[in-house]
Amino acid sequence: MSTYGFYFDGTRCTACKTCVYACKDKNDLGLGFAYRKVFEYTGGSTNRDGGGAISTDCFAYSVSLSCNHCDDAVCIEVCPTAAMHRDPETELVCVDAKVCIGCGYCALSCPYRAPKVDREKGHSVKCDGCHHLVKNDEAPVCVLACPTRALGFGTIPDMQAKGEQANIAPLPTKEYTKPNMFIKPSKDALPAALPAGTNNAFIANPLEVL
Amino acid sequence: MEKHTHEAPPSNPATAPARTPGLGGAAVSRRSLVKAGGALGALALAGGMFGKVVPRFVAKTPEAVADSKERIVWNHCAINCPGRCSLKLHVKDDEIVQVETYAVDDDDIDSVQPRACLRGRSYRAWVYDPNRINYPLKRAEGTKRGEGKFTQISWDEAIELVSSNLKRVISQYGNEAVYINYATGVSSSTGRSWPRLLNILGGYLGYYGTYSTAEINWITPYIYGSSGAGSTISAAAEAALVLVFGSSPCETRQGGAVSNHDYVAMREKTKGKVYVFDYRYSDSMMGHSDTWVPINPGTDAALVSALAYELISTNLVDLDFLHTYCQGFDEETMPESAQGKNLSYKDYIMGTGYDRIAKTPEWAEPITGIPANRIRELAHEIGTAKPLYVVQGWGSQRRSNGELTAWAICMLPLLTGQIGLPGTNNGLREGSYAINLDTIPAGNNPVKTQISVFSMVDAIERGPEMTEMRDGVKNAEKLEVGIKFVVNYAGNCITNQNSDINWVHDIMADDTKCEFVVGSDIVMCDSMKYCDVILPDIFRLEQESMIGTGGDSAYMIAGSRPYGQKHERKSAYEAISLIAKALGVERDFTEGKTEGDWIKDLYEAARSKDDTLPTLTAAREMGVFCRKNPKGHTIALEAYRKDPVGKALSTMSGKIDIYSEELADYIAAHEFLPDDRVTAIPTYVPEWYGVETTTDQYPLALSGFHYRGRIHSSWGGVELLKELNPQELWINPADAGPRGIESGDTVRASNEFGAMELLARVTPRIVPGTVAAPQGAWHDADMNGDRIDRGGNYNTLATHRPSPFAKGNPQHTNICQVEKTG
Amino acid sequence: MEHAYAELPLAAFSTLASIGAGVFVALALAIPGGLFSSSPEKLKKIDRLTAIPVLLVGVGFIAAMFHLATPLNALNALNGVGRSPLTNEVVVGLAFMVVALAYWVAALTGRLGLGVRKALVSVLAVLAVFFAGFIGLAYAIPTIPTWNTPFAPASMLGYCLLGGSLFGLLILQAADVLKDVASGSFKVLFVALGLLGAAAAVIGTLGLFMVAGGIEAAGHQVAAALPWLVGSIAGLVLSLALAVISVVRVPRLGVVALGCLVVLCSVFVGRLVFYALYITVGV
Repeated sequence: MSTYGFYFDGTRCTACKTCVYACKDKNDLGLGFAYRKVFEYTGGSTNRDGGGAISTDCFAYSVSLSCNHCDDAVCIEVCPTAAMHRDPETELVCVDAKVCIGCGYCALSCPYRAPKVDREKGHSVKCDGCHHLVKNDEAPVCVLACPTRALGFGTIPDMQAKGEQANIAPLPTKEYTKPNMFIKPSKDALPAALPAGTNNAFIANPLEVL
Repeated sequence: MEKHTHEAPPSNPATAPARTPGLGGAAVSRRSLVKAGGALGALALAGGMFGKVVPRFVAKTPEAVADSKERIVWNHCAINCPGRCSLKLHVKDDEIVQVETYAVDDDDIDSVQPRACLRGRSYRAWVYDPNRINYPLKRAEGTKRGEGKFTQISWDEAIELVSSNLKRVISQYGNEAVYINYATGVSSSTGRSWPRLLNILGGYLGYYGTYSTAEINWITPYIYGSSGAGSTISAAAEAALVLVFGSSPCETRQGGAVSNHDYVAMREKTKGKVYVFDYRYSDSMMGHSDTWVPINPGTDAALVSALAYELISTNLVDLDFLHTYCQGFDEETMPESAQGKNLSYKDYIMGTGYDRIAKTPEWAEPITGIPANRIRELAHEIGTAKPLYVVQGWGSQRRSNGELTAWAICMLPLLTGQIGLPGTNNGLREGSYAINLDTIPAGNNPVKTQISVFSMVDAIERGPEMTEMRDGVKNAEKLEVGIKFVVNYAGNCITNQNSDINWVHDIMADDTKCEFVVGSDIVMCDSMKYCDVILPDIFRLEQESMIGTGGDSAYMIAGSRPYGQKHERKSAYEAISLIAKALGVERDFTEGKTEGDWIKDLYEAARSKDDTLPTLTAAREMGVFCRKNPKGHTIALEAYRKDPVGKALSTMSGKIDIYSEELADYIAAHEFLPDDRVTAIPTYVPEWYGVETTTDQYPLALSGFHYRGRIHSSWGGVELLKELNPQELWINPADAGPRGIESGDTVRASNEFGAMELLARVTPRIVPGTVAAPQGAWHDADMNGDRIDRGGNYNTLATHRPSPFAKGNPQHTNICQVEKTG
Repeated sequence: MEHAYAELPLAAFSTLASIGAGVFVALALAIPGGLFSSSPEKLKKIDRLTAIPVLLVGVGFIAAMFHLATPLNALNALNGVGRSPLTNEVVVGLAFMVVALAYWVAALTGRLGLGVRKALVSVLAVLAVFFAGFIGLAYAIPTIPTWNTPFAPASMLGYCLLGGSLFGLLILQAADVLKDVASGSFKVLFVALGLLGAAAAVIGTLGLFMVAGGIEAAGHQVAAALPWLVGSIAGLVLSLALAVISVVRVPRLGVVALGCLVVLCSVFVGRLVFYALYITVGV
């Protein structure tokens, strides 16, 4: 279905959010909007006993996530106006701003929090895979922004060769929308599970994701 | 010309979206769309483009990408970070419309790509910040320093005020009364020109040390004889075990060709284990929980002592190495002046000297929080690891026991002889392979007297009382006069980055003490409020600029000017030239050159020493010039290891000092406070305010750490960055629970020096008993009211007592109480 | 409850539209008892009072428009028929609205024949049930486990029937025809309608809560919504009681009006709980 997908290397990501801000700069996003989000997933505990000895089974890892341009994109399925569609040249999922009514169904339905309604603009906005760049043989802005080279982008077969289809917590299991995000998980990564939280872990940076 | 009243921004300035003027809201394609023949055509195109195993998205040359009206201008970041990363500015109609960076998609983690970090990518939000200073300012009549109320004045008036006051102070008090405050907001080959002017005018009171490295840089010559650089991070790829103390390489230097990248690349390649000793599970450990060894802050030296005890007890120390290359490990290598007195390091560790306490793992457990058995296991791992790479950042040394702690960490590679060999380091901060460009010559400072970088406010308050014996005055027995004139260029170290802000405020607000403060900055930060005249500066990226730097690999950036002057802002060089002119020394200062001439001449001078550097024209065209380390890695003390006699160190012993005779002499000749407990060997000393000295009133240790949302306080007012990088106090659930604190609550941390408020982050990523906040938040308090810092800057709670040797800033040595307020 | 506050227009829409539509079910129940065989004056009153459900649904739609970021493009919402649950709901809702308006306007002209009246109101009763159900089904999105259950349409059906019965009662009483049509079988049917509505509403809301309760990460959300849930269910029960009393015993306009107010509030709060318990399978 889709031609392209993202690759994310969880062993290299240091949660710096350069990808987030590179995208914001390119797309002139102000406060309240970020097409990419870096989640921190944390669990375990760090304790100290009566004698002062500290023990820990704490873990924390990050997931950088924009839009997965899913094969079974639920946002396209539920969109009442068909504004949410695949760009004909790149198959990347985009919003037709002229048609969108800003009902918010895409935002509600996406389990990756990709679309969001910009009431000022009057329509839904999200990562469009920088399809204007991709058409010209250039990578999305976030990919070449990452200082530790934790992001990639390319055809599905190439990305499949590098990582597994997105199936780590706090993401949902891949069956829902068949996301085109391929991950090299860190050692700390836990498998995706519904409901989130059964791993005794939690999204620890809610203030940092829009 | 209109006079405007310019106020410092109120708390929580109005959030204006960061929109570039002249650009519409929606993302606009910057080139015409390529037509492909429908879906099939797109597939064919795709298949043809990506025939290889990995997709090749080649970064096109600027001309091909940019619109005809849009140009690409290369420049560099210049804030306090050796990244100084590349900035690819898209300039249209004299405005920066996008900031990209140098990057190549080549799937080669070793290719040198100085990619800018999130702050570099957010430059537009800062360059177009509504709080930018656009014209010269003077403190408003009838207001006091710190109130932040200013009136616009002309450049002529500003120059007149600055030069006449400078002249007056010099003639009334002498050049020793003039001081350039520590500031690190700008780096480039011509960026720091104030010393040059002041030297021409007779000099100024200098300082030694930096807020980053005061303690470690003071002690290093006593250990290694020089200000030793460490091995490159890349060397650790060959290590069997990597130990990291007081460092978060992925948070302190976040660019694509400095330690963020270098550390991640090393960790991927090394076959050895990595242990990071930290009171906090930093972002450098994301996804790598197996690297975290939680340790109480300020206790690194206690851990080292216990490890030393174990290594000695289990015969894992390399006695051969210690006797050949070091002085003072045991009685055998003590200098004559200290023989037979149980003053060796081994005496301290085994309890046969000094405090007569054996530094066993059991002794260390309650101090460090590391279980005794774990210490024993670690000792065994360390003792048998060859090569062993030990590195420290600057967190361990920025404490009241910092000098001795930094020294102690160096003991680990010394005890097992893991120095100067492949895969090793000298225990100090990692070194870099860099391109070093000449900087504008400051000339000779006729005033030889220096104070510690941390002592400016002391010298204002009680200058003539400060002595060499007690207060760290150098090259003179005492100060003759207090500081009367301060230059604060591109720094926030009057208040914001300085300790005990409330105390600093009271002294700086009194303009009978320090009589004149001239400041220059791009934005109205807290320290600017204490200036009498402010000159509006411009970003390096808004000027011609050059810089050389590096991490594992070197690079250089030749920056060009994106647009002309905006408002009445001038470059620092131009502003200082005007002052020089007013004081009749323009020719001496400029030598008839513009800043551009200087950049050119300095670069040619550098090029004459390094013929691999491109011509200036070529450098400007390519923007970014990269160079890999021809040796692959740089190993500290390599030469000394090969030839300890021929390449003897410049310590008195000629060797690495574990017992330092020079330091013993220094101690004997100077005054210290009882709880400093200084020694001439690397011992563990509890912090004045730390985990061993908490009280019922202040039961929690308080530390700080570097934060992705800012570099120190730079970018600290940019709403876009603040939005996703909130100012939070990290607190363990064991401490939060009894206080009823949950993540997102507003909490107040307080101690005898002050109080701050910020959000709570309840997390297992910090040890119990310690709380921590990111440093550099913008101080925001009603200084005439409750003085509670609602910006969450923990310097409001930090002591201004200086460290014992370096008289440096012990900014992580704090205790406090925390309570929920909202 | 933040999710709820973000969806106030939709909470208003789903409350007003379902209750308004449900009025026609109640009216249809009164047909066998001779609702439309009333005197011309009473018929006129009934037709004028039919403004109530028409306005309820109309205002509901206007509220829904406030939810859109670009209401002027609203007609584009018809593009996703069959595929998009929202489009399907809009289609059914529009169909209902068109018929309801046509009926009401025609009735007001006074030239609507008895047979046509009965037919139209019966059709509207059926359309109302579909409309309410489709409002619930609009949220049958596979990635939202709390909404993608039979409980969503069940509660909407319940609100429709219970709320509709109370407002229907209001019209019948205000037009002074209740005593005429309130035969034994009408009373039984009416009580059954109210009971069925209340049961569906309560089961639907409780079911939603149970599903949410089973999701560990939603602990805070569930705890915050609990008092509102309790309030809503209590209100539904109270409004049912008021409806039953008004049918079984001597009806008083004030009591019925109170019942209408209570059911409006209870349904609205119930909808707030629904939106508050928005949880996806992912982040």
